[in-house]
Amino acid sequence: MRKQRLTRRESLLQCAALGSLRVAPWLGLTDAVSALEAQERDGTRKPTQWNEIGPFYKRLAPKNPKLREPNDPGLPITVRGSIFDTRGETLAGATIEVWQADHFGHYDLDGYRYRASLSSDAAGKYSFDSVMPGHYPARVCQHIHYLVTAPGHKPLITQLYFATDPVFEGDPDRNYSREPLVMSRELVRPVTLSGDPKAIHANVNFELVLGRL
Amino acid sequence: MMRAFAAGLMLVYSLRAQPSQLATLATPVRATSFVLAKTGRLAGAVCEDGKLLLWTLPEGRMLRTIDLGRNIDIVAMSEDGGWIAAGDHGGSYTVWDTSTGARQMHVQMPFYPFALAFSPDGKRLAIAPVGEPVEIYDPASGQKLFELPRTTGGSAAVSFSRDGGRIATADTDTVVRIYDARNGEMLARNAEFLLVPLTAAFTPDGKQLVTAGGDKVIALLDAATGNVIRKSTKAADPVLYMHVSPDGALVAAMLMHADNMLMAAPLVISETASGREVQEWLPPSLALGGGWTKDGRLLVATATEKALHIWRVR
Repeated sequence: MRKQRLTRRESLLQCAALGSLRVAPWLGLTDAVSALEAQERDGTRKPTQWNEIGPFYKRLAPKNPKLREPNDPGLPITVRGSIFDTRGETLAGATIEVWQADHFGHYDLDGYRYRASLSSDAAGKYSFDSVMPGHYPARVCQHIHYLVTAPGHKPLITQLYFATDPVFEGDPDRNYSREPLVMSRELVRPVTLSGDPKAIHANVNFELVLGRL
Repeated sequence: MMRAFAAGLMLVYSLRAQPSQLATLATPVRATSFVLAKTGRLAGAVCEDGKLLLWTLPEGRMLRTIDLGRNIDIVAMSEDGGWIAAGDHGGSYTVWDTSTGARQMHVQMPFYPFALAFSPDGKRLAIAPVGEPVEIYDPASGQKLFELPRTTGGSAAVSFSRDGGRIATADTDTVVRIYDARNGEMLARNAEFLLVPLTAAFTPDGKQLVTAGGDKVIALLDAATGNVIRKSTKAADPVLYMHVSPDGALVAAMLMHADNMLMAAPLVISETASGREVQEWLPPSLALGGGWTKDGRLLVATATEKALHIWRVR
């Protein structure tokens, strides 16, 4: 006989009935379960918008988060973020492969400049230092490619775009679709400048959410 | 010694041989892609206004115009020229009958195409949407027959063997895969590329597969095992398209200017068996497409603002 799958609510009520979920006396069981369900719903996240991989992905990139070398031309940039699943839980040990053009818009196909394979830490966080990518001539926008994989989750291929890209003319909400490959505004991230006037540094936060298999 | 010297002279002459222009065809606006029937009797160009123009060759007589719609990413023509397939940026895929201009089949998919290919007999159409599994259709009925297994990122290129029994995909996870074209069962794979392979083509007997891409190396694979038989020396740029001549003797490889894929890049022709380069040609502008005809001619098209130029390279 096929086993019937319980709803989340039924499962919680059964846990309470069997003693594996206890509710404080001043909370009613039904209200507590409703509140817990609502809290779980709020914690859920949508998988990050997919974006095409492009022709220049290269496997076996070095595990070095310093993509930028001293005196590399271009605006230094640090990209940070966390990897989540759709329940809002952070994913430790996810593999984050990134690749991008250099300041002049050139991809390194012969070596591994501006390419890295990173891992999210115990808190699901990752970061890397690079330069703001130049404009690749066949593309509209500056971008960094991502391929993120984690056991039990769908691989995520996407691209990070920058709200400061001149193509958006300061208004990415209105102009993000000028890049035909940007299918979602969420991939265009704000840029924060820091440092002193002689050494400006850009910072970008890019959270990524992987769907479950 | 004289014979070697003469052979050397012939090679130098051959390497420098310049293609002749077969036809210059007027277009209302700039052409963006070119398709050619293997018969060599029918050519088509998609223009910036989304219209497909069809001509007879070598006369250059305009046959028909078909409005494919805006934002066409890729077009493919069946070998006999009977069908045109097009995929647009909104994930809409349509096949037209070139003899009537009527729409033959239509399917909507989540994403725009990486690649489209007809089987040599025109009875199957492979659609490779970006990031999604390759789907195989019967263009006559519009029915989906099956799909190939999902790979990370999808397939950059798809190709049928001449007998229609095998399908090869060059996949963005850097693996080249060979499938049974009857049911999609994977028969062989090659995972030796570091960068994405962008093209794959069977030799006429179906026993070998030439494939290349970002690694800038043309690999000749055993189609039964996926093992490398031979690799070429590294080219100057990635290889975007490859076509094997009807007798299997030559491979034409269209390179892609890696620093700007909109710029013209060389077409390199080499011997399939030895890998020896026999001809190199830099088109005057970006090559829009082309291929070998059944009688062994290699035709490639370029465009100027209001004309399509078809070159006979061999």
